Amino acid sequence: MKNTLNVHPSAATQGSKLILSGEDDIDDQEMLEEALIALDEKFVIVHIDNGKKLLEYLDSLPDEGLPCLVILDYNMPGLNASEILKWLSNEKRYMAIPKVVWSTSGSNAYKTHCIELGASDYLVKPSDMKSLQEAVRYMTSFCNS
Amino acid sequence: MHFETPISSIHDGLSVEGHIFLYNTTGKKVVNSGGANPFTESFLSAIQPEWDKCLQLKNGQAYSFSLPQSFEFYEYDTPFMHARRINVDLLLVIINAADETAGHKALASLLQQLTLFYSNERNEFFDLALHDLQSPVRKLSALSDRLVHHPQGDLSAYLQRIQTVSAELSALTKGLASLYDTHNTINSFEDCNLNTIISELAANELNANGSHITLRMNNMLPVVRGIPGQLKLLFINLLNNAFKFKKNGDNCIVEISSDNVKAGPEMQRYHRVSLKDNGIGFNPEMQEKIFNPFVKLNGKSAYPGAGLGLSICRKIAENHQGYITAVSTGEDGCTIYILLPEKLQA
Repeated sequence: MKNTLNVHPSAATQGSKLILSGEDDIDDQEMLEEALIALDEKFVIVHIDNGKKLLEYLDSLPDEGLPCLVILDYNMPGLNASEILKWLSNEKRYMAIPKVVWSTSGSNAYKTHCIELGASDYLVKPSDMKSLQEAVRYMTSFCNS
Repeated sequence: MHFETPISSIHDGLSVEGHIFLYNTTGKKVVNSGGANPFTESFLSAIQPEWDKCLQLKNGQAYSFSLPQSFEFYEYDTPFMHARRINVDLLLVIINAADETAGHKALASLLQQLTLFYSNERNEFFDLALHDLQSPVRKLSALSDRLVHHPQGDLSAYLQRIQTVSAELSALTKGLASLYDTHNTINSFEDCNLNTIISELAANELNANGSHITLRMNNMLPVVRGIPGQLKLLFINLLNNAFKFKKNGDNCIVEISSDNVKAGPEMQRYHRVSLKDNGIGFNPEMQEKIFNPFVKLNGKSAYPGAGLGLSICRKIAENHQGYITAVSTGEDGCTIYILLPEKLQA
């Protein structure tokens, strides 16, 4: 995990918005961070590389420190995105948080499944920087809704 | 009687052999007239009266009735999950003469479910294979796109990442190739001395990888009938796993021992080889899943790998009419048990 952006959740309460990312691939973590840095608005991002740990982390946050967006890689150890979504959509505290799944796989079945389970959208991970930038801009737009 | 079976397509594919019985009723009578293969008492009491047609499907073909040499008994509605671990390519169906139409309907529905199960399993395999192949390809293209459009920054770091991802891709294609090989086995069984196999591995492959593993041989390992290349691959994969999942700062120690046990539906005699390591172990809840292809219990970046090693091991055990299981408490390492039959069945 990179330290520059991966800061303690208390930082989120000091004005900047917290994005929680479930991602076990360091390259993808870094690409996400680079694209976030390029945005005008500043975000704090916390990466967790395991589905179970991600839920534990969420549970440890105070109500006022909850993230404005959860980005989930579909295939994560511990729990995959659909299992996490199932969990989050049953919890009153997390229902309203926008959740976006992104994955290498462009399978329609996964997409439909994730949206049924409460994901705001399902994106295919882009393979060039420009599309990545657009994808991140789109994802962060959920933070302000 | 000819029976078109939708499961005929299963056998050209990936590792799935069915072993399911649809049964009822006059099975008992049929069984008794079969003579040579007396079923167990519990089997007899499980069968209810009234059925009188039997059909055996083997390799997708319908054969006239004959009793299997050995089998495990499943009720019709046992989830098929259990079937896949049984390496018997056989479906025995006994149809009720009193209500033949209903019997055939039940058979059709069973076959439908079987087909669905196998095709789901296959789809899942291709889904996962596709995902894991796409992922490094996407990364290679993103990284090179970055180099082309923003050539500033630490170039060598990017090139190094491209190298890492290429290695990941190459490991995956190698894994797929070796999984594919184990599915296309030419059965050239010979006497294999497991002591020799393991000591040669320790001297060559493991050293070459720079993996420092301490092997503790608790006793002499048996000589088994096997396919030498595959048994070698089995132990390479298992020992490499032990090293990969060692605890930080610890030396990797694997204790290898063997004994003889009775197991399986017929309480057949097996050599049991166990490999006990001192690594990070795994969550016991995942015990059933870890032998499935592409399953990764740990973060991709923390523990890179294709997730194919153990599925190759399982296929190798099955090719030897054996079993492989893993036990862990989740902390103090794990123990792998390999069961290889003392006598191979024809």
